[in-house]
Amino acid sequence: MNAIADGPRAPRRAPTFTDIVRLRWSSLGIWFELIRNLAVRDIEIRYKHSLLGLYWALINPLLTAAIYEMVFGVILKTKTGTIPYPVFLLTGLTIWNLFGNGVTSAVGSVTGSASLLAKVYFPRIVLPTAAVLARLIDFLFSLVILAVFILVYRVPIHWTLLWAVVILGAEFMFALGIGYLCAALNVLYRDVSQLVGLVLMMWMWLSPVMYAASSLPTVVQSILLVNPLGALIQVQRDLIFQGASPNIPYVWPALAWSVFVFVAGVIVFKRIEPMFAEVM
Amino acid sequence: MTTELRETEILPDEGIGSLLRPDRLSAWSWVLAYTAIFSTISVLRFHLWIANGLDLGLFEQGFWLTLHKGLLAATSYTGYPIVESGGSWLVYPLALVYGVGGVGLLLVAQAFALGLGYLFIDRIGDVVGVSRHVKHLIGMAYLLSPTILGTNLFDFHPAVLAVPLLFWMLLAVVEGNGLSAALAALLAISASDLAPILVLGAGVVVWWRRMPGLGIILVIGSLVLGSIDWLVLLPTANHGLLPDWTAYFSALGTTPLQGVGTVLRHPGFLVAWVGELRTWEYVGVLLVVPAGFLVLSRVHRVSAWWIPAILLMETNLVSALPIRTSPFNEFSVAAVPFIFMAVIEGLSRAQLDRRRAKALLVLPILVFVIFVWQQHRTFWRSIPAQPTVLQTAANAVPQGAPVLAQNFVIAHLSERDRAWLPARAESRPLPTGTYVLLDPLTTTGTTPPAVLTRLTQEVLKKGQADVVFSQSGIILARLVKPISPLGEFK
Repeated sequence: MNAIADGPRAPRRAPTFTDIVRLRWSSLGIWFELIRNLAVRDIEIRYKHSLLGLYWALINPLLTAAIYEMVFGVILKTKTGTIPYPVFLLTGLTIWNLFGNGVTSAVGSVTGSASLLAKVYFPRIVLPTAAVLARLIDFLFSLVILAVFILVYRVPIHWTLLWAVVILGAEFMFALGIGYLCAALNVLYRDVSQLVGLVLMMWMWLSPVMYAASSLPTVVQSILLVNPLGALIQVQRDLIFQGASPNIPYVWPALAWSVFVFVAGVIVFKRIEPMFAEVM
Repeated sequence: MTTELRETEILPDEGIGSLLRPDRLSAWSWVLAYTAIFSTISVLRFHLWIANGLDLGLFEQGFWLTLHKGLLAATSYTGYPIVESGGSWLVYPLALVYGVGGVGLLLVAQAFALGLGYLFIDRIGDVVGVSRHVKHLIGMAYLLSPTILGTNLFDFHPAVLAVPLLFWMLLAVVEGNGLSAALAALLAISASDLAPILVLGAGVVVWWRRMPGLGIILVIGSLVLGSIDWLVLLPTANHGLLPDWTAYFSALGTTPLQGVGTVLRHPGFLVAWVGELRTWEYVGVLLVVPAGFLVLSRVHRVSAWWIPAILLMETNLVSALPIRTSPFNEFSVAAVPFIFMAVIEGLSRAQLDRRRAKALLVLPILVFVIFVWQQHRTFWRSIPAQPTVLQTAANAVPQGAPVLAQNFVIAHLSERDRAWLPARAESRPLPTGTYVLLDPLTTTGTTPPAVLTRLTQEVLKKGQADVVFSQSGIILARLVKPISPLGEFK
């Protein structure tokens, strides 16, 4: 390539803000269509050929909650202030599962699509995105169960619940970031898929899913809430049931972590992406 | 990918908009990592009741007063409106930030503002022609510098907003964008009352570098705006007194004009600090890494951007108060963009390969380790023994009631008209109805042990106060009789 072969360049029109927005929007539209189709495929595969189908999305959280309720509520009599333990537990599990299930699905999303990758070109990051997105369906089913429990136990909820939706967006971003990291690393080292299960289990115990952080001494509480996911779970529960103000100090660093993990996840995925073809 | 190529083409490759290009994502990740890590540590510190200076409480009360009582409401910490506490007019939009997200968002905003320096160093490095690994080296040295970390972790100061704004001004200058530079300089002056000194110095450098129009604008702008700020607006807001000047430069005279006169008559004042070890420690901590980089890379060219930084350091060195010569606080942080700009220019001609750049990274890491050790043995040691009890005691203070408490407690109780540190009891009476919350077992540099002991004795005198809460040595009492000024504690 040389300057003569390229020919003189025509002066470029300065891009306007509308140009940038239009370009960004159209590219987002194309990839979102693909992400949606892959997410639907993921849900279909998961529940196809099973007798109970989508009902598993209801049964799973109910059974898990029943087991933990037996251990923590009935045997250990965990104190959760004014919120009945089953509602407290189900709220924590619902919020945690969006993250935990999302990451678990994302880990194998690239390695599990080897045949698709060989046939069609598309940005590989679409795969873990679709895998995490597909878990929103499970989350919505869990929300229905939670709503029923809230009605049955007559637990008052507050308008600050609306803030919880914003926090949920941050949690989703966090799940995407960790999902990108794990999915890319799993292509290089399959140990990652084994490790993720263990790490998630430890992470769940270190987050206030089954117990209330407020019942612990301030020092332990602070250390638990340094964990961004712990902070996000605790604050969502406070917003829904306590009517707490959203300006709880530790929620903001957790939001900063969500943005950072998302960006870092995208960068790591993009760096490793060119190696996929060699390894798979 | 076609879409990415087109996006890269379409987004601007100069000016502030260039910072949003997709190829800057890696630099952004460092900014975000810094924000996440250091805002978490700051919030952890707040949550564990580890000693903050008084400023977090002061600004919290100032923001609360701004939102509830108007712009010129005086804080009970200083008796002055919040605008007079080191920041300038940009302090008011921060009140809205506080209104939305409280202390947590303030601390995140502070970490983010300081973290943005990495992004600007990355971009300025591109314009000046520094290689990728050298840009990263300088960026890391910036993020790990004790001044940036100390300012971030110790407390909260609106003046940190001047750091990204001064970096923006420097970017605009190296890109030759005068309008953008002038706008950034104006905003920087609105963020910190020390920024006019730096903009003045920058104006001289720019003038000298054959951008006379911009140079004149920066010199005249800094002098005019600085004078309006220091000589008109602040004294008017405070009914004639100039608290910051009195506190820091009383040795030079009672007004800035008198100060200039004193320096002109006795230029020896400017170098009077040379004989003090403490001031060399200050200069050393600020300059060890930047100077080390230049010496180890055998750079013989001295950048003119040292001038604004030296001007600010000199201002601090002639001050009457030792706090001005601490290298870990807001008084020096605004000089950091100029110090690192000088390093960028210095290293732009150095022959540094990737291996040598990595080896040089040992220097800032070493300084960082010393900084962490210093933090551990000073501030992080003063963790109250009973934070849970302190929390319970603080919860028992009624909303809006006047309160007196130590510096690590007061930041949790500042949303009220009257919140005082124990030092208030030395010179002013404490009115009936004041809630006094004391943890005599935890002492920090802000409140000497003698003050705490004396105040505790006064509060516990028979008939002086109703003890509302008492556990593990922590006392919360409501005064039923006023306490007269106790006099200076020696």
